[in-house]
Amino acid sequence: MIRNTALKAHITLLASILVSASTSLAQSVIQLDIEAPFEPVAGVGLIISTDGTTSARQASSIKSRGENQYILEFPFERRELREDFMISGLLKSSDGQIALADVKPAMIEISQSLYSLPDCPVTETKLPPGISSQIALLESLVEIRTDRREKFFKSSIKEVLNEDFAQQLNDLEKAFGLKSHKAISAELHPVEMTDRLSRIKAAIEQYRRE
Amino acid sequence: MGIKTSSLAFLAAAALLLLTFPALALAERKIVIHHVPPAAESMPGPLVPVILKVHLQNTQDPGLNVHALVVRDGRLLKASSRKSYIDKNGLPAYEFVIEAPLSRMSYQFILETDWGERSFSPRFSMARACLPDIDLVNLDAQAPEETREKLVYLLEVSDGLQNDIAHYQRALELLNEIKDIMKR
Repeated sequence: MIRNTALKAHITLLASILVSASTSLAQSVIQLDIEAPFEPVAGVGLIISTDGTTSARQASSIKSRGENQYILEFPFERRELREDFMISGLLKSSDGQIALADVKPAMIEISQSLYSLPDCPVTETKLPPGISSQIALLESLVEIRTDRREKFFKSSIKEVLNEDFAQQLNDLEKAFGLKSHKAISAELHPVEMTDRLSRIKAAIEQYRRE
Repeated sequence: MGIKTSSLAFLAAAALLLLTFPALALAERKIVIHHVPPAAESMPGPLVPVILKVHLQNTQDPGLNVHALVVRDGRLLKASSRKSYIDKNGLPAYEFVIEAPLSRMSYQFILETDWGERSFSPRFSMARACLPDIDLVNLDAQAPEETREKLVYLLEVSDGLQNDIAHYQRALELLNEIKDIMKR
């Protein structure tokens, strides 16, 4: 009986040591999205601790994701990453150019590429009853919305975002450290434009407040 | 009896102190930030504004410095509250307008007072299960000839255009808002 209990305790202890060792040594991968106007030949991941110490990791992979967009992956052990640490990375070209990733908090849930998610499935369009007699109406709706998109919003954006204002916005982005390789212009995709403008607006408001 | 008298004297002194300096009573109570995150299924389309509301407990002041530290799609953003007021329950409320992420977003509210008090809310996060399609509708495509296919095409194009319009509208609003801020 005594032997059994001792054996059980021994096994439990051994199991817990094995579990904690495997947890602390668990390797994961951090993914960073980096915009680079060149073909990268090497990449480095950076883990920045609260005391400013930076630990560099060789990239385990660099994947291309569309024009000038890359996903840099580098390994880390979960035990070495704390929530108050920061992560970043850089890509190098064969002729010595460097592109830096944004510095961001090292939270596991955001340490994955934006593109690690699958694309949403295309939902099948269901035709409402009685719609077949309304082709002309639908065509006119498409026409109205096309006009609204092209003639009203696109041209209004072009009008507001003239050369001077665009230059001011690009300067502000640079001044606030919100760098981007593509300049703000009326030709930018509206989702990207909204994202960048909302950051500029937040930065101006914070600057004025402080 | 001796103990009772000294206890009474102590209580009287404490009451007098609190009456004279009511702030002392509050100074002990740390301001707590209360926030209920929106339901995951109610997340709007990418870059569509979401209103995040915060309540403060242990204060009546709607004019404190509360800001949000947001990591949207992997990029950091520090946002100020758009408006603050006393709500119907008598609690100070602060509203933040943050554009929804394309993929995921985490945020935390931070209160900093003039007297050096700092309070942090827990960190909240919201994430999509998949990446939504944000491509603009291509108007160069030829509409199909067959009636059913043509109807499907027209419905999809008109919905897509409506989304594009919403994106352009938001971009235009922001351009005008920034222009106004810069004039001030």
